[in-house]
Amino acid sequence: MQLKPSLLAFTLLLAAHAQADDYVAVHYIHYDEGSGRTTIQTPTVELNKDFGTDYTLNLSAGRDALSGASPTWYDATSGASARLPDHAVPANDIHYGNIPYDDNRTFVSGALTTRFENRDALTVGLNYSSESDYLSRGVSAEYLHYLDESKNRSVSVGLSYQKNSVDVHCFLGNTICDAISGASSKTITKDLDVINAEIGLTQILDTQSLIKASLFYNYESGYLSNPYMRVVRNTTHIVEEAKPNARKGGGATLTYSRALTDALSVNLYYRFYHDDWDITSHTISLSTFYELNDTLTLGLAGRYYTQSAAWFYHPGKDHFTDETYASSDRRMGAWDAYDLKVSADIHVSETVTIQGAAGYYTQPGTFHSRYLSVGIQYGF
Amino acid sequence: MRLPLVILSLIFPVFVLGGGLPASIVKRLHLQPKKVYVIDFFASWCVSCKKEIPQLARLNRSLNHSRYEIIGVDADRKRSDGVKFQAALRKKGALNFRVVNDTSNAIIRTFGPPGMPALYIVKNNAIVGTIIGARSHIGSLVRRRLKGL
Amino acid sequence: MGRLLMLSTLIFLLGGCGMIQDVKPWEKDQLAKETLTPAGSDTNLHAFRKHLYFSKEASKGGGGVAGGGCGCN
Repeated sequence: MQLKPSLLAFTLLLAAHAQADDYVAVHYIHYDEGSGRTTIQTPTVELNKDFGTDYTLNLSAGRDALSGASPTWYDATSGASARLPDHAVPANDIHYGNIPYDDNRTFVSGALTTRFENRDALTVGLNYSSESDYLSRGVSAEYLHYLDESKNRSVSVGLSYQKNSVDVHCFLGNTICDAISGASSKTITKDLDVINAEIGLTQILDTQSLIKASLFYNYESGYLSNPYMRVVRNTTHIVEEAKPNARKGGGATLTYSRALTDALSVNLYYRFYHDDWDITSHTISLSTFYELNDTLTLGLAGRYYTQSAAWFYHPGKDHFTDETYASSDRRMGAWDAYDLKVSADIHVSETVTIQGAAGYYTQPGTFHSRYLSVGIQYGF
Repeated sequence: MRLPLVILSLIFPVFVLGGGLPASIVKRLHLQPKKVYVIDFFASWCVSCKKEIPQLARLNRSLNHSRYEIIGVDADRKRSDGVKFQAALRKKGALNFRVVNDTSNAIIRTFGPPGMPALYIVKNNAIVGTIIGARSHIGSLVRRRLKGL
Repeated sequence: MGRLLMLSTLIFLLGGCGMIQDVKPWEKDQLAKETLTPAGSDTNLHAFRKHLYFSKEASKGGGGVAGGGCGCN
């Protein structure tokens, strides 16, 4: 179901896996939105294995168990339901509130990195994720090329393609089903294709710091609306939202990482984004790590995000009439968000590390959520 | 062929083939002129180095030690990091040759490799072969290079 | 406040480009640390957080290519 936050793993570009010790890791993440909206439990397992000096294989799999509710418009006289009323609804009966849902998502991904004699590297990845009404299959490739003999400067080019299938259940009453006779028991599958390209430059500045800059471009085409999201037209008609069927967006990022001392590291990140839906956003984040001793590493991270609204967005129930495109999906609105995370890595032995973290994400005035992660990593 | 070598030797201290090693390095590494040495530069933070060392240890088991010797040079600037790294490898039987801890980086600076891992073959106190950067089959590669030396 | 924060971040980031030193291959012990990446060691949680942002926010992309990092592989 597309209301839920697990929607569509955006693992379009798989980060090239740095050569590391071989390890297997198991993690469990619990995510909970205050106000009892959504709860997600996510166990994952990951394997990272080097084959000699030239190949690294990374495999991961997991499963989300979701339950909760997401907000949209509904007819209060028939209860909080995603099903569209087939008649006009008195304005007083139109409420904006949470529609309950639950679902599972299964996801697997794999990436193989091949390093050549000059240590340039090619990473090829595949990913797959499936939920009751959404299927996503992706392929990605990234090529890393060193620009100097000391390998202090490198350029990376990444490309990915994702093919998604969105199931629209006709019992929801969406107009997309109108042309089909006896449609209420049927499901219409719509396509959504996503292409992403990114180019990045990494430059080592000195023995303690490096900087990375990148440009990225996304193109989405197909069914970009959410079959469960509603808008109110002419003050009395609850109908499905209508987003444009294509979106082009892109932006730039800058990351600066510095080891301030032997024990203290900081990473500062900025992203600018703009798309042809008129959404412009800025993101800054800071993550710091402090190695207290050989056993304990502490982490603290903060992130600030701000976006402007899509041109077809309006949150009200007395705004839309016969516009071609209309959405009251809060994700399309203008707002700020904050995220704060603390973490601890405990190196129990040469081979075993326990990882724990807790975080708080909020869009002030809209919702806030907490997440907790525990994991164990075994190096071999 | 000569000109590039001259230019390279101006840029890099000794890593050009045929370059003689300074007396201080010969003394520090305890090199004997009659022997052929494989000098492997590594560090605990260099993942490829860690992958190569066990292969060199396997090679070392089959070498005629009256003629050949492998010497490791650990470039860790923090001595405890290097010692801990070597101890873990020795415990697994993945390191069986002598290692010089180059915490001041004086030795590696003299060789000046353009990448890590870096491996030099030295005969008569002069460099006769280099392998710079990670190699999947470093053991068999070095064995081939040692043939005839 | 937000704009001021962005501007100071940008100036700080761009300031870093001012001086580039020729770092030798054996001088990369600090640069090789996993704490010199925003994810740190917990790449699983990092992926989850990216997923959270993706599903709650309207912006996409910009976290893709990994780059060469310390160049010590």
